[in-house]
Parts: sequence; C-alpha cells; structure tokens
Amino acid sequence: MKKLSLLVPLCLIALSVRAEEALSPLKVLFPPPMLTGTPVPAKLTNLEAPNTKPAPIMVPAGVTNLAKGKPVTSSDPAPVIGDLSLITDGDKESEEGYFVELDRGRQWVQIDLGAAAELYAIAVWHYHAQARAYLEVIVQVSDDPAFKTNVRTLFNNDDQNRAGFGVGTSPAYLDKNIGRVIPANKTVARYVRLYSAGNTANELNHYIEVEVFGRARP
Amino acid sequence: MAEPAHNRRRFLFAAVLLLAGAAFLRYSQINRRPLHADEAVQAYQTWQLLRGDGYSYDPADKHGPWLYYAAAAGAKISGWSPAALNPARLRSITVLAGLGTLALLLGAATRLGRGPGFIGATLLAVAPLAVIYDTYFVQEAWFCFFTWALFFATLRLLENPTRAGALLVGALAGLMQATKETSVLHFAALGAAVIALRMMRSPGAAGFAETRPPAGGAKTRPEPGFHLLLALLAATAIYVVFYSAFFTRWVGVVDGLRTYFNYAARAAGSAHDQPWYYYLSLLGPHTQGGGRWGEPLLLLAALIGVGRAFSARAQPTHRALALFTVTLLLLYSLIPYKTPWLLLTPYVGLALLAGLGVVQLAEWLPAKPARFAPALLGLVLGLEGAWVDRSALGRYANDERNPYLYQPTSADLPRLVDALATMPAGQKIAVVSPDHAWPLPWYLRDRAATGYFVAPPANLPDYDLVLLDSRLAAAAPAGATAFGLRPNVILWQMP
Repeated sequence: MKKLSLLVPLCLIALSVRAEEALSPLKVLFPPPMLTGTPVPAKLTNLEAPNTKPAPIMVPAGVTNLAKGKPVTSSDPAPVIGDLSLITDGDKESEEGYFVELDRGRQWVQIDLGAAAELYAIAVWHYHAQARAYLEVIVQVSDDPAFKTNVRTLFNNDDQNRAGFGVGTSPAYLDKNIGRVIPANKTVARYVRLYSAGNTANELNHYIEVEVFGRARP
Repeated sequence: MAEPAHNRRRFLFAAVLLLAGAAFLRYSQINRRPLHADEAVQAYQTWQLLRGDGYSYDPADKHGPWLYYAAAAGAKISGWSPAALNPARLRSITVLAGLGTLALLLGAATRLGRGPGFIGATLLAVAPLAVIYDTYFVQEAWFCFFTWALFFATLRLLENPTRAGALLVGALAGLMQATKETSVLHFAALGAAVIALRMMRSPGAAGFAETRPPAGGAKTRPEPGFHLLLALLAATAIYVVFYSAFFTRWVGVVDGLRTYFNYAARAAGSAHDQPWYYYLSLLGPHTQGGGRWGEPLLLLAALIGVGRAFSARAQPTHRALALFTVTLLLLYSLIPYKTPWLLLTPYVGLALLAGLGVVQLAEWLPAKPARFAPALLGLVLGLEGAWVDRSALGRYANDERNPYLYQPTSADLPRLVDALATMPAGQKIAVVSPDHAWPLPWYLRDRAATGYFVAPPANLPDYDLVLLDSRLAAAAPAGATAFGLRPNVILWQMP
C-alpha cells in the first residue's frame, strides 16, 4: 500500500513532465518547386495568399519520419509506372522516376510503421510538376491492417461522400512542392492508409512520398 | 483474266468483318472521353443550327460549315431534337466518316492491290489516331474521308476522263473546302503529286496518260480544259451553297476567302507551334510521362512501301500514293501550327504504304514462306497498333501523356456537370475564365442566366454559383471545391 501511494505521485510527476516537454515546430524538408508560370492575380477576397505556408505543427524532441523505408502496400499492387517503394524512399522530386502511378478510380496506399507509434503529422506529396488537385483525398490511421477496426480519419476532402467514409470537411488543395502536412494529433497507430480517386488532370493516382512523423509509443 | 468469284466473296467477307470490327472499336470509345473544348465549339454551333438560329461562318477562328450541316441533317433524319443532342450522338456523325474512309480503302483495293489495300485498311481500323479522331466531333474525320475520296477520284479521272468523273472531283474538292479551309494544303499536295507523277513517267510505261477506251468502243476525245472547268464549277457551287448558309448569308462566301489571312497569321506563330519533326516523333518510339509510345514498325514498313512505290516496276497508283502522302506530311511538318489530329489524313497514306511495304517484304522472302508472309507481317503491324491501343484507348485514353491527344478535357469535368445539373434552372452562374472554360458553354447551353467573364465582375456576389479558372487565381481559394478542366487548369467552385 505504501509502495502504491509512492508510485501514483511518481507517475503523475512523470506524466506532467512529459506533458510539459519542450515543443518545437515540425521541420519538413520540401523539394524545389516544379510549377512554372505566373498566374494572373484575381481581385477576390477569399483567396489564400500565394505560397501560404500551413500553420506549424508543434512536436516534441525525438519525432522523426517513421515511414522512411517502411513497406508499402496498395489497392493496385502492380503499378505500371514506378513501384510502391518510391513512396517511402525519401525522394520528393516530381520528375519521371520519382513517382508511382496507380490505376484509375479510387485507390489506396498503406504504410506499415512496424509498431504502434505516437503520430504527430503525416505529409503527402502526390505530384507537383503540374497544377492539379487530387480528388477524394482521405488519410486514415488504424491498428488493424485491414482498416476495419479502430479507424481514425485525419483528413477527408471527399465533400460528396463518394468514398463512403462520411462527408469530408477538409479543404481541396493544389498539390505543390510543399505537399500537404496533416496534423495527426498524437494519435497512436501502426498503419497509415491514404486514399485518392484520380485528379483534376487525369484519372490516375500518383504518390511521390509519404512521411509519417511520430515517435515510439512511450 | 477475271478473278474467281470465290476470291471476291472471300475478300468481301473479310472487308465486312473488318468494317464491323472497326465500328465496334469506335462505338466502344464513343463515350470514353468528355467533350474536348474544340468538340464543344462544334457541338454548340450544331445545336444553334438545329434549333433554328441559322449558321454564319466566322472567318476568325472557325472551320467550314459541312460538319454542322451534316450533323444537323443526321439529327433530323434520326429524329433528335436540339435538346436530345449529346456527345455520343454527335460523335456518331464522325464515326460514319471514319468508317467511310475504311470502306473507301477497301473499295480501292482493286486499284491498290488486295494485299496492300486490305493490310492498309486493317492498320487504319486499329490505329489509335484514327479511332480517337473518328470519335471526336471535329472536322478531321470528314476532311480525311473527302481527301482520300478526291485522291482516288482524281486518279480515276486521269485514267478515264469523263464529265461525271470531273463533276465528282469538283464536288469532292468543294466538300473539302466546305469542311476545312486547310483543304488548300491537300489540293497543293495532290496537285504536286499529279505533276510529279507525269514528270516521272518513263516513255512507254503504263500510266494515267493512257486513256481507257469507253465501254462501247467509241473513240473518246480528251477534254482536259472542259473537265477542269466542270470540276471548278462543281467545287464553286458547293462552296457557295455551304458558305452562304444555303443562300441566306452571302457575306460568308467572301469570309470563306478572308479566312486565309487569319491562317497566314496563325501559321506565323501561335501557342500551338511545334518543331518540324513533331509528327515523325509522335509516331517514333519515345517515352512520355513514364509511358512508352510509338509505332516504329508502321513507320519502317511505310518507308519500305515508299521504296517500292519508286521502284522500276511500281504501279502509278502506288507512286501517286507515295508522292501525295510524303508531300502532305512534308507540308504539315513545315507549318509551325501542329496538332495530333492534323496527322489523320497523312496517316491513312502511311497505313497504305505500310501495306505496300509488307507486300514488298514478303517478296524478298523465298517463294514458300512468301505465300503467308503478307498475312503474318500484316498481323505483326496490326498487333503493334493494338498494343498502342491498350494505352491510348485504355489507361491513358484521356491523359495528356497520350501523344495522340491535345489538351484533353479532364475526366473530372462530368462531376462538375452533374453538380450543375442539380441546380434550379433560374439560378445565376458566373464563369470567370480567360477562354470561357470550354467545353463548359456546351454543358450550360440551356442556362440563360450564365455569365462568362475574363475577370471577376463587380457584382460577383449576386451570382448563386461562381466558377473561377485557376489561371486567374494565384492560389487555391479557401474552402473552394476543385474541378478539373484541362491539364494545368482547374475550375474552383467558390464557397
């Protein structure tokens, strides 16, 4: 009983120390921009300023890209262009040889982090050599490789619920060299799955890189 | 010696089978792609004509009237109301022209030789370029049909000059002009081929100069001047009928000639300029966006066919075919303005020359294998076309990396069209785009309350729905929905 009474305060102290650990903005390395041309600015009030950077995501020390080199599976297991390992190889250029092309329609890729981890952000680059937006972008995490149980949705811009995961409220966005960095809010999961259903230029799905920032579960 | 009847029946059976297969391939593609911007422009004009708004030729940036009248006539015959026009129905009008070209080649097989004619027609039947542009509601399929009809009619007239033949040649030339003003290039290529053919004719060799006696055995008197006059009269009559919108708008007759000044300006430099080797590189082996493309075997066989056409034992028809195809390809290559569909007419010549090349290759083989070689070699070339079809008509059927396409409309656009269809009829729509965001005006043709602006108007908040072209926006509008229009162009539906 005496031991237990000592243990509880110690645990609380440890938790509070962890809660108050120093946080710093997540540093994501962006590839050089590929898009060329200067669009004509329109006098509209609700435009994002050009090159708007997303709000920084604060992360503790020890957060790294857990996806680097991890195995990737997909709904299209035999892509015609590129291979699935390109998604976690660390290269984020948009030229030939850096992206994998998945078939038409709704497709997904899934990364197995090897063990459940505390996730802070997921960054995705689909293709940024051309002005295009990928459609029905949905990012989910789970402890179940089949994504049947304990599925949590971190991003969903499928505003017409075509994929059947609910009406998405996340914004549509142009894929640029800064990709999309999605907050993961310390979610604990082992598997990350990303969906898309073609893009505004063609019917196919592409991935250059996916980075999953997190750390081993404490 | 007359050909055995069973041989003729066999050829006829194979020809019907080929046409049926070609029709199946084309109709299976008829809805594969959303309307291209250029198709939508033609569709819009057809719709206007069909609903009684008449037709007026625009010399600035439009082609001749034939396609609109042909489609409107097809709609009337089929009982389609203006509201019932849709991409598949409109494209069925150009599929007819594509099948007509195939039938023409098969019909000309007696002149070309059964082997080269049938192999050439087969290669054209499976050619991705032909399948795609036979199912595009633009002028090219009809233009190609009339051009090759004129080619064979001209050869027939040279061989057997008759008044009916001269009228046919003139009528076809007039129909070409009524389809597309660039017919002058085709006339020039055909004229150059005929002149070169006459100059190359060796003394004593069989050629077009030897006029065939008429069937009755009566002596014929060549009337080249009179035949030329008849042809010119027929061509002019058809030109006037179509460009005057059936005698309702006479200024069109003058505008039809004024357009050449616009073409001269366009040929001098535009956004569509390409290097001279563009068409050859399109057919040559190359990679584009990660995919492998090209029809090198067809090019090689066509080259052998050209060699055969200029050999000592070449038939005049083969020589004319080679001269016309090479001259046309050269002319199109020299003009900076280039799009893939302009290759359609020269491609027909390349397919026929490839058929001729296959026959030549077979003749180089020993006698025994040579018997089956044309069929086998033709099959190899056909498989090459089918292999390219897998990508060009399948996975990349609507992808800018498909070298046979030019600025394809995004497959995502129908999503926007479906969304717009759910809006109440009276609601106001603003489309803010530097070029009206074609093909959108076709899809919104029944919505009178649609405004097109090149910059956001002051009363933009009055509109129920605003679509903003990404070329006008420096960044994605916050909270907007993205719809694809073309490669590199997105329409943002403002929240």
